[in-house]
Amino acid sequence: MPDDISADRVTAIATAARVPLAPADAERIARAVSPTVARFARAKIDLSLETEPATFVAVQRREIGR
Amino acid sequence: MTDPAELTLTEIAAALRRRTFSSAELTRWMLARIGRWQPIINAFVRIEEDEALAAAKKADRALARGKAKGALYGVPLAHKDMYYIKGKVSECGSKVRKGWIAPATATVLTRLAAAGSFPIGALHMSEFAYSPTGHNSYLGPACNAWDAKCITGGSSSGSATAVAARLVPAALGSDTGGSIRLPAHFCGVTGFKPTYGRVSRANALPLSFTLDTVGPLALSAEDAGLIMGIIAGPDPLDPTTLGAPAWNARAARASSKGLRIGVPARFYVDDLESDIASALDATIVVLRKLGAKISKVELPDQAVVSAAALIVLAVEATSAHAPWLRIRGADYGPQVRNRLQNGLAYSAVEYLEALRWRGPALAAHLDAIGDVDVIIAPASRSVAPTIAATDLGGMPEAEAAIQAITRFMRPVNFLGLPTLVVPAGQSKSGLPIGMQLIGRPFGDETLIALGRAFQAATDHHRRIPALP
Repeated sequence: MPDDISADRVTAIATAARVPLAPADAERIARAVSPTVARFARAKIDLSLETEPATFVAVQRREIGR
Repeated sequence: MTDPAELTLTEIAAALRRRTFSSAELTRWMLARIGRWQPIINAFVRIEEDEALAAAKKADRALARGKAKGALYGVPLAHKDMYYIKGKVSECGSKVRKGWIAPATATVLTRLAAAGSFPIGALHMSEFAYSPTGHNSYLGPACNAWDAKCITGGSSSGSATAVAARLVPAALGSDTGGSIRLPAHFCGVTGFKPTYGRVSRANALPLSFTLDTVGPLALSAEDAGLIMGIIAGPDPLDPTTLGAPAWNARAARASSKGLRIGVPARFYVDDLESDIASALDATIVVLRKLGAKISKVELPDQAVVSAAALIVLAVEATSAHAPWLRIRGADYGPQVRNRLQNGLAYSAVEYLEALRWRGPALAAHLDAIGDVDVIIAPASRSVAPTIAATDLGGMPEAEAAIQAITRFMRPVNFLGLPTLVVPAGQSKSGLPIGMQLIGRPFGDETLIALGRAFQAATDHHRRIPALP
């Protein structure tokens, strides 16, 4: 993942999602979300191929009756 | 008549059963109190006087005949205006849903009605539950009962300030990124965010289906446990609840002696205002006196967990609102529209990597805390700021300000953990301070039991704000 989000990227995703977006908004969004994306990217999280969203439920439910 | 303002929900329900006062007397008392406070704190979006009095009289007739059933029989309540009642308006704090009539009733409201409670109105909330301050450009801000110049916190703004002012003895809120816990802290009430999957969200407004939880704001941990006993449990209309354990009332009353309580070594204790740090230290002293074993814990990097929560929340909220953003973007308030637009910045791969990481992140959290039962952490690094200082609307700096306010909130949502916020002190300026007691998955009852013990040893939760 890139550490910084560009306004061009925001505009491209908004266009694909069919949500109208002014150029100034794309600039603002890029500035607003870049720290979050950078923080998550820097963590270099290593996910196994088999990990899926429902893995959370499996981990969580091990605690029932603990 | 006994002053109901001095009573908790549990005590009010018992007083009704003993017929210390009638449901109609209680309802009239509440309506009069709402009338005095509403112009100051803007807690209600609707007050349903005639319907409430009719329901109260019906409850009194049943009580007189000995036909009353349910733990909350004859108790008027009000909830965040995002819990649908079939055939009634639910605007969810928004212009977009102005006049919207709900097609079905929320499971949690059906369960509360079956326990004998009835609505007295509906409560203020942040627009579409997507702001942590209590500002709302459509409704105007809700104001803090302790100081009307200050924010309530959000998004369960009306629930927190109404309970603080004793306009209702309890109210449902929702918590996706701190929306029960932050208002509970700022307004000095007890707030409970259950384990993800413990309470049905069916026919309630969604914000982020991965993170949304439903829970009470109340006057005590005992009251929160009473509400949880009614609303928790599997619901076929919400698949995330299937397989979750039923509420264990006995465990919620168990002794807390010997509980292992962890104090985070960093993140939650960094850069605290002195009043908050003092309240944390004082709370630890009380917990130790109650027989808890206190130790330091090194949690995984909470800033990364928080970032993952932000990504998931942003994308899911934007996905839910995309149909309206395409054609009615101008009908949103500027701050909520900006936040919803932020979700357009993330790629599908980034979103799914964050979502897939949720299980491993929870496993790492459990590894890190070992046999610790509960983690204690402040809810915020400060007490409630003023409405003026946080009225940032759609300004570019709003997102950073929101993230600062919710800093101690988001990891709990990402990990799906239960958390009880208990009033734990006050600042030199008299504003409330709350502490988070963060449990293990499905350790909800342990938190209620600990909260009860803490509140038996302290009186922060009994403080009542004076009408200005």
